[in-house]
Amino acid sequence: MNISFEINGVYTTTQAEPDEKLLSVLRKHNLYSVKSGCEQGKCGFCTVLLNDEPVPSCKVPVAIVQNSRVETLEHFSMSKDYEIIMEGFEKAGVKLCGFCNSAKIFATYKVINSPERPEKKALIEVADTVRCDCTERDSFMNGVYYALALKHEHEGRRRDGR
Amino acid sequence: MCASKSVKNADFFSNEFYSDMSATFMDNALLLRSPVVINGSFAFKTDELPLGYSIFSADDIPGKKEITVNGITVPVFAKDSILYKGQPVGIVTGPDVQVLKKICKSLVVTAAEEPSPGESDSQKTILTYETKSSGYDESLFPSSEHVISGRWISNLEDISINESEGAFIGYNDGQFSVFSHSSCGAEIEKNVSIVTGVEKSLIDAYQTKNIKKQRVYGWQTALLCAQVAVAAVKLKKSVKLVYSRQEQLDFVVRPMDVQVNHTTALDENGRIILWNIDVTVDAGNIVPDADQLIQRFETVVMGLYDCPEYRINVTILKTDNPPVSINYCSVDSYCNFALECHINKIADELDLDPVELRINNAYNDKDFKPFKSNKDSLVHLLTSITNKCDFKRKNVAYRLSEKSRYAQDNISPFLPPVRGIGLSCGSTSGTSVNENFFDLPATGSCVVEMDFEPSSFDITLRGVWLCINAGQISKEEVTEIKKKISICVRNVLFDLIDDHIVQSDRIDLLIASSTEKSRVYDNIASTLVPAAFINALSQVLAQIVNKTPVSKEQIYQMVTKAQIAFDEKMALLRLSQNQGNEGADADDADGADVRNGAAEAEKIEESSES
Repeated sequence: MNISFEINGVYTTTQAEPDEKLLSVLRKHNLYSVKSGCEQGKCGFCTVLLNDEPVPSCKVPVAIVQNSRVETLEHFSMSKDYEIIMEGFEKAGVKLCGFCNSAKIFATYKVINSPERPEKKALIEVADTVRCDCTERDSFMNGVYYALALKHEHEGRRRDGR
Repeated sequence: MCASKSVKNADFFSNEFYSDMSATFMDNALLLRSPVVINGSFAFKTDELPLGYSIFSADDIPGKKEITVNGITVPVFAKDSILYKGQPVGIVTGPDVQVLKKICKSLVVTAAEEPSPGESDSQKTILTYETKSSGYDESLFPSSEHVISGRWISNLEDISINESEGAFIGYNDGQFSVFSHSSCGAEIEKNVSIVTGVEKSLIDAYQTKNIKKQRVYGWQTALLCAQVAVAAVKLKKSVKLVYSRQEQLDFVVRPMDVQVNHTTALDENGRIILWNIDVTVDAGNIVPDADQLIQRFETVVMGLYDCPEYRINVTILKTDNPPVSINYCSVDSYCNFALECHINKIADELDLDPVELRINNAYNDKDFKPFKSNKDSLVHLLTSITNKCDFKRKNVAYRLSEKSRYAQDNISPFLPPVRGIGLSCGSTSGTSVNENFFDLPATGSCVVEMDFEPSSFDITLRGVWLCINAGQISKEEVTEIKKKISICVRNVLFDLIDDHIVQSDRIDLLIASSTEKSRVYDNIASTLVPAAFINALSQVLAQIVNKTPVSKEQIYQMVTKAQIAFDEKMALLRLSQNQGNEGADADDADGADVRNGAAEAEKIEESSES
């Protein structure tokens, strides 16, 4: 069937089986930032923004994204938020391996755009969803904290998030 | 000899992961895997192929139909028989991976001849076995003070997630560029040349980026590259094959199935005086270096402990299961799991302090064989870790709770909080055995403490403590070591319970430096954590858990069984009490009924504990 949706700001119509994974459709479009990890929606390596919400694309049948907006890291890397996140990671000494980038960046994106300042427990939960040997959990959490502080600074918000 | 090359930039290679590479006229590929084992000739068929799709089997191989790597010869595709479940019978290529998957699903493999009636479905043969003993006399078991035996099963798989195995073969004007995880470029080039008949000078092999060292024998990647090369040569175009996660788990990182039976006789002081160890390993269908594998098991199966009279019997089975990932460090992990769980069982049954029991039975010579460590070092490791986490006090408290769990009449055995604590110690080495010693072994001890939630069967770790003798290290190195070990511990915890993520907010690492040479500590977490975790889980459930990984379903079954036994016991007790009240002035016969009811309850209690 023909499925029309917006990929990285461009409205596209693609031919695919309705139950085909969004992951494989995106990779067919040479969007290789979306990696095939556990294929069970647990590792986060295939995360994309679906209508600005991070989702594991391996669990999303392509028919669901009809008329939706999908953004991958290729496009997101041109945004201000990406700059902030990467700066935060750099400050914390987080070096991304290339395979888990989508997972870590989009997980951080969700945290820094949350209206409330997240508690440590919530951050631990976020960190535990990303399974990659390249970064130790505490370093990643520090990176998220730095990115959060930079985001607030950028938006002129106070420490309590207001 | 391995020749390692880095990826060179070429026009059509855009990224550094092989799975991200593409070329203008490129086909994808999948392996057609037989779901059955056939001892004899066979035929296979699939649905009709759409235009642009092709299948290549053993008959289409232009050159030699098998490859030889590190002395082991394996067929490129199954030809005269299908040796193991999942052996590739061919490769299917085409532009769309989804269509390729459908073709693979439609594969039907049939035997040319009917199997003979006596032929069993599953084939198991003893590939090799060896027995090592010292003054062992089995007849002494019945006359010993205490005899304790246990069976421990381990098949922890490495489910760390990274790019799965595969290969990309770029074709450009008669030149073939082979991209894979393999660092043995020369081996890949040689085998691709032999199988395809293409001159070696026209083949270049490159190693692509790989996050974690794969637990793969050279022959597996070489075979994979040869299979893809057959398709690339026949089609004269670029071909890419990427294993699915399930293929990766089933055929690349499949763990050995190891079963260890320990039988120990102890004297009244808790010293092990007679020890019989039987190890059975299901090593799949293709087992390279079986002799080295058997030697490793023999060397490490008694760990840091000593016994004057022992017998070790190791059997390697060749089965029709797919080949396993053989890693010597995982042998250390399997053996230590069985050993430490058994030591804990001894402590539990004889009511001994697990720390004292370990120290009493530790190797008493100046140097432990094969780990070149000494008893003082082990004592130091155990004392440090137990002091740090207050192990002795907690262990006594949790043991009291465990022992009285089924004895308290009106309290459910799983009334929260249900807690447990487990200890393990051991050694591992990344190197092979050298004159009965390991080079640079790392020794450590570990404690895991957990909370169990009986209503949701969730396990929450209260803490993981790890103490490691890392040899000569600088202060700067300590931070790096701690980071690495912390990642390893988290990865090990991920694998311990199927379909359930166990995580710990608290991982305390104690790094003990010493004047000895610096040690290889990479695999110490996988050697120590599973045993400590299972020991804590056994204490929590008040039942012996003898297997790793465990599933939530198994935990549920164990808890439910214990709960039912408890309910039945309570019902019987109530019944006997009622009868007792009604017949306060009754005769002896009634009193006997009450005693019978109590005895029945005791019996149920015993059976539930056993």
